[in-house]
Amino acid sequence: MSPMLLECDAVSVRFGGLAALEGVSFTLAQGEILGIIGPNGAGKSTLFNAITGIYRASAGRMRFAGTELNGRPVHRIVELGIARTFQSSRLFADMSVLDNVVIGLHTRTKTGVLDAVLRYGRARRELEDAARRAADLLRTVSVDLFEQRYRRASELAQADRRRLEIARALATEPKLLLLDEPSSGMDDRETKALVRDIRTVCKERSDLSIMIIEHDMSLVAELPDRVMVLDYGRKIAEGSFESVRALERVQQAYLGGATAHA
Amino acid sequence: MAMRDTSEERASPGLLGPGLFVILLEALLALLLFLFLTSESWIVTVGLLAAAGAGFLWLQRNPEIETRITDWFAQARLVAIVVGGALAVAFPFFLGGDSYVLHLLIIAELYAVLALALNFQLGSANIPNFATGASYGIGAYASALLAIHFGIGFWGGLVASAMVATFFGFVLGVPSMRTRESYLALVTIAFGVVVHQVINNVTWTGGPNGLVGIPAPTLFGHSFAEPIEVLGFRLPSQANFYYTALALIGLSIVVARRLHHSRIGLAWNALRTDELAARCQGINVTWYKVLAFAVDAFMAAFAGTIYAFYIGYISPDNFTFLVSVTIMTMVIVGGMDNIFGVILGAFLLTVLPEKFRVFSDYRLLLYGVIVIGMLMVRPEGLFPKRLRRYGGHG
Amino acid sequence: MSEEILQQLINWIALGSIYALLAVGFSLLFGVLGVIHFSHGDISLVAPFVALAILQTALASLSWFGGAADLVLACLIAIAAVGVLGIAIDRFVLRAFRDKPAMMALVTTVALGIVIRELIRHLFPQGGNPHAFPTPLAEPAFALGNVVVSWFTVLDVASATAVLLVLSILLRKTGVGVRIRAVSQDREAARLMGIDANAVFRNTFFIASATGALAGLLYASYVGVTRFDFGILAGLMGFSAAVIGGLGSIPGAVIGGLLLAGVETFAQAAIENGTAYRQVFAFLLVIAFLVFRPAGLFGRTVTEKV
Repeated sequence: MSPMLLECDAVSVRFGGLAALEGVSFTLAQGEILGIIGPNGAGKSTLFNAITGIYRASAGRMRFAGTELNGRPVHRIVELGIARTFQSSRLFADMSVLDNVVIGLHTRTKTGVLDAVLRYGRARRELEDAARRAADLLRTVSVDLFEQRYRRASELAQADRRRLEIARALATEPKLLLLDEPSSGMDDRETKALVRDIRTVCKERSDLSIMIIEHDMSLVAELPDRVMVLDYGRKIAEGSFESVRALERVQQAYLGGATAHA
Repeated sequence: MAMRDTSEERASPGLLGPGLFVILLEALLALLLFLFLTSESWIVTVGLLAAAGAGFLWLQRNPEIETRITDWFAQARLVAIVVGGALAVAFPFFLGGDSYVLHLLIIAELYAVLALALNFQLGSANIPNFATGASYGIGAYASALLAIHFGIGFWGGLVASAMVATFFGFVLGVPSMRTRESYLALVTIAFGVVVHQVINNVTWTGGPNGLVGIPAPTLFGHSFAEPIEVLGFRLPSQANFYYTALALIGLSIVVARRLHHSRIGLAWNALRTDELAARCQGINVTWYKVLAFAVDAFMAAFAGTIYAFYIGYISPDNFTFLVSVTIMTMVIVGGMDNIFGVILGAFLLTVLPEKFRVFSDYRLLLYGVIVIGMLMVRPEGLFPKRLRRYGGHG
Repeated sequence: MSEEILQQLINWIALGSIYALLAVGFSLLFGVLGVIHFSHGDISLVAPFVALAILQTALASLSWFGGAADLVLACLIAIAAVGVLGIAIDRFVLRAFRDKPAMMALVTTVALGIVIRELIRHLFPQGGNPHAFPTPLAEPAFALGNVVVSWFTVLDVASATAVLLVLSILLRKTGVGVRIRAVSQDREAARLMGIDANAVFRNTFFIASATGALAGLLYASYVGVTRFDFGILAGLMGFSAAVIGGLGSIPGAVIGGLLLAGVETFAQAAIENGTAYRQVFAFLLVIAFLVFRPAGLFGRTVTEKV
């Protein structure tokens, strides 16, 4: 059997005495879409932060495509092929839409300081080439965004910001994409469009795996192949959306913990 | 090069329109600068200032004209560079041997280089570095010591001092890996104080008395202590340093532009806005911060060397914390991450206080008030940073 | 030999108390502002000048009390005046930067320091020169062997201890203090709970600046002179002490202040020509802390919320 793309084994993240994540284990196959649900504070974003190296895992092991992730700096993990978006979108607000995506291509370009100063022609060509690739990428994700490529990211509408974050993450050429509540702040129509966009991306890059944190149950029902439920930092269920939804303790977790969302 | 879309209406006047416009505008600016520097009457000085202020306000009110002008400069870039360069080279010839004005221009040039150096940090990457003055001093002392004790000349000292300062830039950059904002500012301030106190107390730097007897540079047998004689014109000896500093500005602009329009400039801009998000795009934030420190120190050292050989005497008080703050003021006033703006800021803030001698004692107070005022009213500076444009998909 | 060590120990504690007072102000202001208020040192060192001005003009001509009582009155007025100055700076300058990038507020506070120093230099008669500041109570309070401890040292240490104790109680037990801590922890949440942020800023600035003013007065008395630019170094020492101890912690400020003063005193006493270098050693210690333990001794590493 081919090895899994991502293997997390008993991963814990603790702050002081507080466990934000406790012994979470799961695997993710290539090309798979895994949904992660759970009430607020269940540790969903913490899991993403542990995988991307922003938080250090206090215990447990994470392997990605055969490489140990624990203790690796954030930018190295991006180089390995893990990209993410943020719950509250963190774009480079004072830069153009296009530049946001060009920055995403950082790991896929090479110019060093001396090259930039002494071999300007080459450096320039590389950057122009990156800009072209970024523009193409923008067009695949959304023509609408492409047309706004010379606007400042801060001027975009909420839904477009979300899309741009996804485009920026895709620019790093990830094998695994982590989406943290991509639909938050979107209305039903926009959410439907988002699902469509993600589908398109998956079709373009058939080997791309996705982990997606969501509160919008219509999206969770539709997109992921499999769903994992977290509560108080522990995994309480895993399986198809239908099977997970039927579980009593999942319903309890939501009724007990969820004050805000359904 | 970074051009806007050459749509029909913009392209139609051909190169002639923008070219002519650029020549006229640059000539006008040079003329105004000349009048400003040489006029003895305060009425002319104040009048020119008022005119400049009004012109700026007008541009401010009519952003489309500002865009048009920048477009023309972009289209007639070569013309702009050649004419601008020629004007700068010719400028000393019109000063009629006025060595004081020349001195002022040299100091302004050196500050322009320092401001461009700091701009990599403050402007591009938002790193509050209060130690540029220290790097400037390290460069000056390194080259002066090499010249006095080892007989290494100006040109060798230029390179060697840049190496030394860059090394210290890296050293300063190391604590910056783990610190940000307030803490980083403290590290740089502390570094500046440490450098100043060490220079002030060690015997081999001459302590508070400084170093004297730094020999004048020579180039192809021509001593920089001698006047320049060309085509029957005789320029005071300061002109040697005017041209050296001018060449350094040219070099700095090239380096600044190239870094800005590269992956490196983009990475700096990314960590300016959001360090964590930058990290998540695979940017080695630590390295890019340290790099910004090194580049800043490298260029500041060049300026320091020229200063040491120009004045021939340096003391710790030339390189205090207040020098760093002055440089920072210039960057903030001119416009962070805007090369032209930063140079303009340096010239304005060097020349203005000198022109108003009465107020020269109030210079620092003025700087402080200007910085606060600018940050409150127009934080992006006189000339705000602009978005990058790309050729292929522009 | 041992006498000298004892003498140095006394100097150390006297200076450390002053740094601790400054450090607490930095900590408090950092809590609400989110950036270091770099001009806090300069604001604190305004106090000796206010006191001098009062002594030299108003009280000199009135000569109500004479001697020590004049000085005490002048110092109390100076402390209150500097507290109000702190409020004014918050209201008219720093409030504009509350929701702006940290770098802007940071540079502004540095520039504010320059403005304050230059104003003293220009407004105070012969403001560029050092001015003698009275060291009251120089009489010996008691002697340890042959080493004499002056009443001033006693006053210095006692007032610092008292103020720090009062501040700890204030922050924990009173409504004012609880609100300051709430805003320090999460301004948005505090706002949602109906806390008036402007009032909290006002209180914090008053408390911190007045505490700083006391430190400034003690500093001027301790050194015996004051000058318009003493605020730079005093401020850097106070900030450094706060960083070493851990921003936001009063015990941390005390330990940090003592540690820094210790390095300075030790350098001065034990190393040849150490007086000239004492700040170099102090700052190297600070940089080492920032590199190896950025949260300070008592600070908690704050993990950025993502």
